Amino acid sequence: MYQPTRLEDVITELKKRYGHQIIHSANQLELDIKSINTGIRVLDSLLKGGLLLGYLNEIVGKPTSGATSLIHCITGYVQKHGREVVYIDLEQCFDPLHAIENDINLSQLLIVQPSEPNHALALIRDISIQSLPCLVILDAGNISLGKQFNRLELRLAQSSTCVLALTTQSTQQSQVIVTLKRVAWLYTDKKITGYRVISELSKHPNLAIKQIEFDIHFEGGKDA
Amino acid sequence: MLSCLVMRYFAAIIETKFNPDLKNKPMAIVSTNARPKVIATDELAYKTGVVSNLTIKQAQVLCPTTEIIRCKHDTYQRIAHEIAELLLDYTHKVEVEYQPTTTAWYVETVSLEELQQLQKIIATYLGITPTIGIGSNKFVARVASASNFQDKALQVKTGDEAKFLAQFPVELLPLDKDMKRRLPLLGIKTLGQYAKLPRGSVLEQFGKHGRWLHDLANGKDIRPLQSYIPAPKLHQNYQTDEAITSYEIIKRILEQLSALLVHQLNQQETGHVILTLELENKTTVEHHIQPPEAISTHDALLRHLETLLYRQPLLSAIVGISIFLQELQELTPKQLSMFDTVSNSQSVFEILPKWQKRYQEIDFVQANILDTPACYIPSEQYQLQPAVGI
Repeated sequence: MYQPTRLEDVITELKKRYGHQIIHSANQLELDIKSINTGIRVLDSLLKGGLLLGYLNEIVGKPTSGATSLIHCITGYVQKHGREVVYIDLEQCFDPLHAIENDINLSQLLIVQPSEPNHALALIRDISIQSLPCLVILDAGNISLGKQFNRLELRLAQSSTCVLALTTQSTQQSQVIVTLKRVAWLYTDKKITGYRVISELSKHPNLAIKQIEFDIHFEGGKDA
Repeated sequence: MLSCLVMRYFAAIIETKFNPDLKNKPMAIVSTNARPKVIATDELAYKTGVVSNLTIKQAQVLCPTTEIIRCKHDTYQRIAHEIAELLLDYTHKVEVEYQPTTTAWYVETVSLEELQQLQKIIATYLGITPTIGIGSNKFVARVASASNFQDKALQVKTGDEAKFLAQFPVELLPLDKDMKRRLPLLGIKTLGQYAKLPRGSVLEQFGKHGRWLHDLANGKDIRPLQSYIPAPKLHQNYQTDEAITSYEIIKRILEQLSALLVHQLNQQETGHVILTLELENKTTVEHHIQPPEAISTHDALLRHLETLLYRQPLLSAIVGISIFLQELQELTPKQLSMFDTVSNSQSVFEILPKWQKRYQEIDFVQANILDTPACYIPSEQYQLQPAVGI
């Protein structure tokens, strides 16, 4: 009887007997997680592909840190690539004029203004159960999302919905957390045209903590 | 006038019908609990003294050759209802009173010829002729048929009820425990003696139940005939050309029958599956299952049928397979499981009306940029309008 001696032979034999999915290296595990591009090259490289589908993604940034601008950039890019966006505006401070500057198609953007965070979370739960292939932006700002936010994790698992929360203080309950810090304003002829931010990937299921610096320009340009 | 067709030793007759080897053998049908007791017998065992409520050991002491058979209430009931359905072709009202010992079918009286035809139907189906009693109400008809040991119908004329009933023992009435104890102590042994008691005294001594029994003993029964309404059910049958001894072949047949039945189900689900197997040795075996969740899909039905099939050891070859689906009902919506994900390509705006209905406290809006000069304050340059779904 044939007795494999090398590890490769053992793996080949196992795959032959029980199928190719029986054994694979840890690198291949990451490939199974689907993601959507944010349209910001540096952020995509930081997240190794973009926002994760079926996970809770969170961008943490204090006011004027550029987090809202970043979210608008992502919304515009995602819409352009055929994915629908549901914008849950908990603080009820959505600015359509700023949104349109970031190429957001307002006619295709559903803005949801719940009176309580629980209503917003219930709606996200519904969306994830139906596995709608859309991007849900939860603009929470200063509002605390409570413990129920954590329960979304189970609902989102295996769904095609991507949830991106925007908070000023991290909930520590999301699987992906990116923290933004404004480090400098950018000037052109003594006029502020953008700012430089440091983006820190502080939590990710597969990637190590990493920092990256990039510029955000008000006219839509983003550079590393 | 009402007629009552009574079949004595009902359970034993069905057992003989399913297994002809039991013919002319004394048998005791016992309950299926941990301490089985006799709940029905056939005529031969009854004559040796085997009656209800005896233990198996007691029954075997009285009649050592008694065949002990586990009771199959589902099967007996199904057959009692099947007979009722047959009778419904000839009369418009039939009531079934099922008991493993004696089963009765009440019908609204038709002509004597038609009644004989009903008698024939049951005789053809079970192989034994039922007895017939005719009376002005259910109790009189029931007593008349139970006391009749001939094929001819026994009719109790209107007005003669009390006189007819007077001779029968008082135990024919549905007595409660207290009355069973007290009536013999009072020296009341027959229906006639009980009927002669003053109505007021009966009410005082035995309450409302006693008064109702007093009415029955006087031949007054106001209970209406509750007509049997056949429940919808599906049935598929397969007779094999050759005797089958392989589970694999039977499974393939079950797969085909299951596909046909699921097609017939058509937006319905079933809560009771019966698999009947006809064996080569002329016996019939029935297996029942009432799954915790109603069945509506081919896979689920096939899985349960296979479970039923493996309950039957293939000691004798199979020559016929029947599947019955009972307790049919409309499809009930299933609770969403958090592990179920439905791949959905629906648009958000398609689902929006549902959300608007469900979350009335949430505002769903769309932003609209207004054609206003740039010098206007930002809040006047746009408008938030209620979102409209597709």
